[in-house]
Amino acid sequence: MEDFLWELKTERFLNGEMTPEELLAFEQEQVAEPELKEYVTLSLQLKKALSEKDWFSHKNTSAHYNIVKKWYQEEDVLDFKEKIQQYAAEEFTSKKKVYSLKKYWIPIAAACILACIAMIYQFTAQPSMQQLYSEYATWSDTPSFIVQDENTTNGKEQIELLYKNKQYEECISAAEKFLHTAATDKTNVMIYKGFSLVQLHGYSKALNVFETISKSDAIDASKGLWYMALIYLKTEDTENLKTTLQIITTSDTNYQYSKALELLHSIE
Amino acid sequence: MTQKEDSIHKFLNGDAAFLKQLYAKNYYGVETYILKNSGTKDNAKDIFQHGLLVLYTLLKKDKLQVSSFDNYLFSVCKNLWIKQSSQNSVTKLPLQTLVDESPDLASFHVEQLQWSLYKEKYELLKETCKSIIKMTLANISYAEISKKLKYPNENAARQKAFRCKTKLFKMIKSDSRFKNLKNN
Repeated sequence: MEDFLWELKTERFLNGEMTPEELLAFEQEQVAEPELKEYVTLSLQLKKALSEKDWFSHKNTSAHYNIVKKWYQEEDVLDFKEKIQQYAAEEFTSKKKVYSLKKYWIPIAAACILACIAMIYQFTAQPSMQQLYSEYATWSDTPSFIVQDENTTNGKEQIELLYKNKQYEECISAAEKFLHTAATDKTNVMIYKGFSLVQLHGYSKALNVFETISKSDAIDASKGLWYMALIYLKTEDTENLKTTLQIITTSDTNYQYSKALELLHSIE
Repeated sequence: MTQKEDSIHKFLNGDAAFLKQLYAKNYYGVETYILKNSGTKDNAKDIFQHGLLVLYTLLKKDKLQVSSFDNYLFSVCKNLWIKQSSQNSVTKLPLQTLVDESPDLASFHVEQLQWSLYKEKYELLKETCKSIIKMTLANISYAEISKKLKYPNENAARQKAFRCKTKLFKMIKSDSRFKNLKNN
């Protein structure tokens, strides 16, 4: 009963839902029970660490802080700071220079021609879709069914092993059998099914699997979008690739948000 | 030497060609993130510079181990922006001033290490634990959580959340970094 009550109170405390009377009583309870106090403090820190909008806001009094403060005054760190400041000054200001049109019309015309050549060069020199695919596709980055302290589920472990042993057709059959009956962990098993289809070059079937994940109400539904993007990259379907990457980059909580931004930048 | 080790070596030595490549490869991702989150291009430049400095100090002085250099640089810049935009202007980090910015940078440096510790241990949890913790912290009601994760009732979901969080906190507390990083 205690665990249920601790979580209930902590939840209300963190969400600011306690009345002043409840808050006072909860603070007193924390003084009397240091373990509860630690649970609340760590819950708050965890909330900050996993938040995409909030950050640790306390005054730092850790043992490490005073050591680190000195590091930022040491010569090598200051030298590095100066180096990147100089580098940034060159990198960023070189793009801001403006010339008078009248005085520089000949250089401008020359520059325009050069720019056109450069654009053509850049267009042809951009990494190909297949190069980008080799860089971003991570079909070996699979979810793990290895558990830490609870009973293992043989069906899921078997699916994982079949995939790792490159027995893709068997993996698909085992995944389908699992999905037919199971109620939990469906997303991860569907990921194995989709990955196996990709390995067998069944891209349109794999797309269907990942689309189902992306439209599910699972917490990691956005994984489906990232894997769809990888297939569009592989099949060089630029239009759908861009649309999918744009959807991923609408929220930084989506799976592989930063890679999607990079990839979008690379193809635009 | 692996590609990652080579990148870190060149970065710590301030290799000019590597820095040029680093800006070209990573700056625009950070700029896009900051512009999408109510920032300006000038904010992005400042954050990127501070991010590089913090990453340098984490790698060189704290001997931080990272699984991906580019991804960790992005996370440092992202967290710096979250910190800056969630606090008032008094604590913002000016890039080129005579003000000593080492206390602010040191504070963020320690917080970034705390963030890494929490994230690292969180990633070790089973998917079911990760899901329930993420949902509770996103202020999703236990009624909805129990429905989504198929628990018989709200209290069962709360008990599961408590067990998952307790397990996570145990892993965090037993890590040697925790004692150094926690506030006294």
